[in-house]
Amino acid sequence: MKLPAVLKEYLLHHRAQNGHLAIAFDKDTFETLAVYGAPEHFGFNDLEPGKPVTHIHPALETETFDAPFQLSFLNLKPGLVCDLHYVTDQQQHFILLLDRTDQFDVISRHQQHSHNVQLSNDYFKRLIDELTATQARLYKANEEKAMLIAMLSHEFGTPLSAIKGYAELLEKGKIPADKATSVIRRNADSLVNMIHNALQYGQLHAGNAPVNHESFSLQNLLEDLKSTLQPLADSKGLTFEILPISMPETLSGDRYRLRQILVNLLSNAFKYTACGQVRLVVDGTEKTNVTFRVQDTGSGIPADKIHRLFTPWVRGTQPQASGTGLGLVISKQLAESLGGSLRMTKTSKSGTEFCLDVPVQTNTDKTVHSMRPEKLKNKHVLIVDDDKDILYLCQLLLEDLGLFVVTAHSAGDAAELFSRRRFDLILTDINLADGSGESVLDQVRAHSQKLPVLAMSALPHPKTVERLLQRGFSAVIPKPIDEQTLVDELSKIFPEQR
Amino acid sequence: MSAPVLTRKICLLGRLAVGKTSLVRRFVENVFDERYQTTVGVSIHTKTLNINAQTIKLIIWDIAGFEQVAHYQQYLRGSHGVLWVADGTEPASWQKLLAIHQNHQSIHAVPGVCLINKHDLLDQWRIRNEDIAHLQKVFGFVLFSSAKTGENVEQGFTELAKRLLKDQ
Repeated sequence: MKLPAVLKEYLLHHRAQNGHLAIAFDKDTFETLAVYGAPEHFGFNDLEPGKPVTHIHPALETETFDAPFQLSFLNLKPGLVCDLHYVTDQQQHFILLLDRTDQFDVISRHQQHSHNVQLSNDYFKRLIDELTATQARLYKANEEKAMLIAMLSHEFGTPLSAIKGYAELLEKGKIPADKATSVIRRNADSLVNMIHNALQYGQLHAGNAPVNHESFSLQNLLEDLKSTLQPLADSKGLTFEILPISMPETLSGDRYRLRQILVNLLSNAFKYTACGQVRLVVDGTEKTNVTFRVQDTGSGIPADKIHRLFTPWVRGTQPQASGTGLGLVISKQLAESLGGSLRMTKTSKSGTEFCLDVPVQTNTDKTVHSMRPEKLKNKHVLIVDDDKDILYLCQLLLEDLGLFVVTAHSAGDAAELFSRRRFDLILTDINLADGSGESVLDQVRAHSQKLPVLAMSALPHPKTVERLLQRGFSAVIPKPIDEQTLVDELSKIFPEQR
Repeated sequence: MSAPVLTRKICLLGRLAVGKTSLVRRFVENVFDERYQTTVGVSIHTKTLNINAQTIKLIIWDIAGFEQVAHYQQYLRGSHGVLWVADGTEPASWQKLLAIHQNHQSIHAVPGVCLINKHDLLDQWRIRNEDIAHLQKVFGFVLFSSAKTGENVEQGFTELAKRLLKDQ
């Protein structure tokens, strides 16, 4: 059949080397009127006049044919790709199929290659982004670490100089012993506090500091704060008062964390108050939470420093400022770990107020009481430590509590002593010159599964404590040893007889 | 007498390799192939759904990724609905989707559903809540999908079909 002129002209511009098919149709009924070209090449062997042209491909089923159009690279069937054109001269209407399989194959190969390259680029870009972000995090962590080391080196210098100087004065007999020991003690406490703060900040920052849950007397806590901090107030001639309002008898939670926050806030208040008073208002009017307000009559916080109050390593610029600049940061983190909040509520040249809110958890758990030292009397304890000074210190502490103490300088000595004598308790350092505290534990366990063995470790990481407890130690006592902590642990091991 | 079949053209739009072809293959043939095979031009499939006693035949236009300038204009003509496809592991994919949307005012009027695909790759998931909220605002309806596991594939197409039925 002779190809209509409109198609002839069209085909001149759209060459189809592998074959073409043209279908004339009625635009109103979509019926096929005539077929030109090679229908069998496109798989339309039964295409004949009268059949709907829209049946040749689903692409045409929603077509309105209101204007000429072209669909490139239409996948007609597996292995056959064509361009589909709607050609019209207003009187006649045609669907024209041009085989483009060869071109499609070439373009398809190129496009696949180009997309694979692009996807590889995307992948490497993601990797680079992740590496850049990791590098930035590491850089920041390294900066913080360097800042910490520099700051600690600097801060340690002051108390260490005082300790060294006063120890020398004491040796030469140039200062009364009580005066020297008071200064040495205060500076040693300061050092311990700095180390503790730095370690605790790291643990809280990493989210792995353990939270204790117990019921405790709020009254006892406040009395403890009063007796601990009153000397500080007296030394500066400040008034220190605690005002309870509708205070609950007991609280449930981590009393050590709560105490630490309050000590931090009150210590700061004392530090930055030259005259007047420091006051702690405890308000339990709201049944769901207790509010602690720490108020002072100090010189206030400069306006340009307020936004950095809770930023690590930033401390006050006043002459009396000292320490790591972590106290408030840690206090805020601790408050949040208790489900509460800490904020500065007001500051002016006549004073500052910090407000700590902690939720009240009613709990009938038995209140933890410390064991009376009398109950420890006549217990036999073996202390193992390769540091003679620490060994002697522990000996004095435990003898003061009424225990019979035997000391060993090494794991070997401990084994020898243990084989000859009976003990009620073993207290061993974790790092020994000839082994570890764990080897002492193994020696003890070879003879007795029940004998309590306590480990001593210098400010141990919670994960280390967890591992040592799983290993079989009865408790882990942090160094430097605090008498009350030791008594508390011993009270758990030797419960009061009723 | 049964209700007439409603025939509707829908287009899948999205950047290369977001999984448009995989979504169609999962929906139409219930198969999945891990290998990436680029689409050139357009591949057209059909599937008929029965929704609330109404029959709708979807003519699904799986259009090549939007990398060739304006090549897709010819395919969008006369579209009744759009399935917008992003890849939750690739930020460029939803940025591209938003750019396509912005550049094609003509398809704003037709119903659309957005699928955030590759939800099986949660370890590589990078789309943030604020990105999702933005896509939700622009496209109106967003689902997490996986052509690999089949998660929300049927639901995505069906939701679009429901919107087409409402829109008729």
